[in-house]
Amino acid sequence: MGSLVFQFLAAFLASSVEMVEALTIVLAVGVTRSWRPALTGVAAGLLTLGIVVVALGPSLVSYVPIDALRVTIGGLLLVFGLQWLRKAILRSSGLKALHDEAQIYEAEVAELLREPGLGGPFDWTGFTVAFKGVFLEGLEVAFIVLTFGTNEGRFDIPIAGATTGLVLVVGTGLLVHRPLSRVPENTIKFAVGLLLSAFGTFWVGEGAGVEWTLEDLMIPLLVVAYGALSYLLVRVLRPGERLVRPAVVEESAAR
Amino acid sequence: MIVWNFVRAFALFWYDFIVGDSMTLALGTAVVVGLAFVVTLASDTGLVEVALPLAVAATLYASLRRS
Repeated sequence: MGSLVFQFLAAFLASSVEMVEALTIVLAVGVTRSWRPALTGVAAGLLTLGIVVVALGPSLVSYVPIDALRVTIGGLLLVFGLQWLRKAILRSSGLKALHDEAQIYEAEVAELLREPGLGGPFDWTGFTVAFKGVFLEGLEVAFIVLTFGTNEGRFDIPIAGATTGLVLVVGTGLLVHRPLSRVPENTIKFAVGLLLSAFGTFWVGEGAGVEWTLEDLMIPLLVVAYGALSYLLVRVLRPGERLVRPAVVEESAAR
Repeated sequence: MIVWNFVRAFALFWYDFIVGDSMTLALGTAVVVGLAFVVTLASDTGLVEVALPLAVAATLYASLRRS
């Protein structure tokens, strides 16, 4: 039960943070080009992500032995979680620039205004940018949904988490009609990184034959342990009160 | 040509997904997975319950040191 709550939370938070980034791109397309290609791109991106999950999920569960699946999924989840954690630690300590959605939005708008293709029967540039934004940002969420769902043999919980994040972010975006620059993105990435690393460690162990003494309780324990370590690492790496200006363009490319 | 482009794009996707901007993390995770099997086979699982999280912590620390 506790494990399922953490899975919902991980999918929800990951979806929220990735959709904030996708929303920035879609809003830029909608405002500068037109809403028709922007929304068509969003629908096509979400549909493609859904097909990826539906096509891969059940077949993985049916044909791959559970222990092999756990080691593979655990390993992928671990490396993925540690990447998020590493970036969050570097940003918290001031060694890497924080995201600034408002500046990313401005850069995206300027670039889209330079692109040709406005005024035609259908704006393929706007469609492609919106599609890529939703698909590429959502691919990481689809991966999280797939790994959690495949391991547990049920996809409802991670899909519910991811959908809740999507609806929340898109709903808020439609209401305020501008990029969500006040979302504590690095804090959310920190939380997702901790959760994925904890699940990854746990499943790698289970796949290798470890019978965890505390069973599922090991997962929150790992979250706390990795959280304490990350806090220490941020403190050690922070060189006084370092001031870092947001570096937007290269950040969006490096995501 | 189309097949080659697809294979290349697929390989690049996985490289970016697994290695990203830290090769240390990817290699460290491979070591963690190997360690899990070796220690589980060689001893009771009590040791691996401590060794595994410690190896993960060491991997994270090593990748940050190289940044």
